[in-house]
Amino acid sequence: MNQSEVDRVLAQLNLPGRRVVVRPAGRVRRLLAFLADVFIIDLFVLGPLDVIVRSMRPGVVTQELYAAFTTIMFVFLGYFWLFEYLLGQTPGQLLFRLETRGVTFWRGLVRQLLFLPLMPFPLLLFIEPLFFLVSGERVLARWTGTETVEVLS
Amino acid sequence: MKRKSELGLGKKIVVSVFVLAGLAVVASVSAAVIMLFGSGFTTGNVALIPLEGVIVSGTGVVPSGFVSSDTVLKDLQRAEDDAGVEGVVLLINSPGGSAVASDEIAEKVASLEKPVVAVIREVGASGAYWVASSADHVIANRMSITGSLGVLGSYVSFGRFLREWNLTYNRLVAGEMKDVGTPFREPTPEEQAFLEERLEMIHEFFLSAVAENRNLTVAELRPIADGRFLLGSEALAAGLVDELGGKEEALSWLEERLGITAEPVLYEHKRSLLEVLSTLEEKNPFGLAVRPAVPMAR
Repeated sequence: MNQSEVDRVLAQLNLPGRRVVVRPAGRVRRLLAFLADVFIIDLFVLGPLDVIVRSMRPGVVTQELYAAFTTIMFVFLGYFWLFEYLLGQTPGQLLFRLETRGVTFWRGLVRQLLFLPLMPFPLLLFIEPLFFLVSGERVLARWTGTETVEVLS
Repeated sequence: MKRKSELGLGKKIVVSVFVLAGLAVVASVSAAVIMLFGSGFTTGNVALIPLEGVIVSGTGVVPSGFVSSDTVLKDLQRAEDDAGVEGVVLLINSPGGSAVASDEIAEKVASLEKPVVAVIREVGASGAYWVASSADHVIANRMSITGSLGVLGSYVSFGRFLREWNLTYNRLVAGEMKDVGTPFREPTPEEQAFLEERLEMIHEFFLSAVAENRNLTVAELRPIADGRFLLGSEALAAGLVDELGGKEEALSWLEERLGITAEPVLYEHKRSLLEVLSTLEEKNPFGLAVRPAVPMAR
């Protein structure tokens, strides 16, 4: 019995469809998903840059450290942008059954502007967490009309 | 329409691998570029700057056994600019070299806002001592060769050799002194006097600088300013060095002066391919030895 025959038989049975419950994602779940993503980035991507950052003297900003920091920010931007645009969720969100809805190519980029290492965007690194703690939503998500949801099925 | 998040797990894994691999490549290339073009990674608070070999000026490739003043000046500037570096130790092992290049380095050492200690190892003589004297504190081993406060301008002339081989030096000059110092004929008495007068002037510049750096008078330096070298122990007695010892004593002096725990970091230089090839050429027994043709404070 091939797949089309299975589908036809299932249709004849008139079973109830899969129930999917979608609700706004909770703060804790989103925070855990973010931490999981940071862990994945650190584990698979940032190894070579870690060597540079760790070799620097604490508290001293050198050109090399600035260059490494800039690259790290672009990696974060690329990670969240590409995963949300291509898959609708990051690996961290996948683990915690979260999805990002309404992401297009450009909206996806704007959502991650807080990682762009050009003033004034880095200010969002401070504004976003505060706004998120108060409202449970990100500033850039509100601007772009996108949302992170929890999917229960 | 199927939502993106409803893609099969296999497709998600494939996309994830590609995205992570792409980002890893970007991070690796960036790290490689930073390491290649970065000025090095300082992890200490005391910069150890080597001054080894005959001191020459210029920015070109320097053969093994020579050190360009430009290189040392860059190291000193780097130490000055690095907020993490609080003091500098100059590790000197040099017989001297170009008067101009030595003066350039000495001026830079004196102008640094961070304390500098000069450590004379095997040799720190003549131009190299000039540099050492401009540091805040001078340390030498009791057997180090130092001093040698003189100027050397000797050269070989081939005039007689050319005549014996029936070769003629066709002298074409506008200005009697234009070819003074040419190796193709013996100098005239006037030219000999002219050259010696210039060497004396350089000698006086040298003595004045050392006297000022060491808080001595030129008269006090005269007895040892005939070009003789002194051992470290003699130099201590003559006031040319402050302490007998080595690198450890230099770090201790900086720790006491700055109230820090010294964490030394060596400013090493990556040798370019040209420099490596130059070294190989020098080791070739049939190669030509390169010697600078400028007045040498050595």
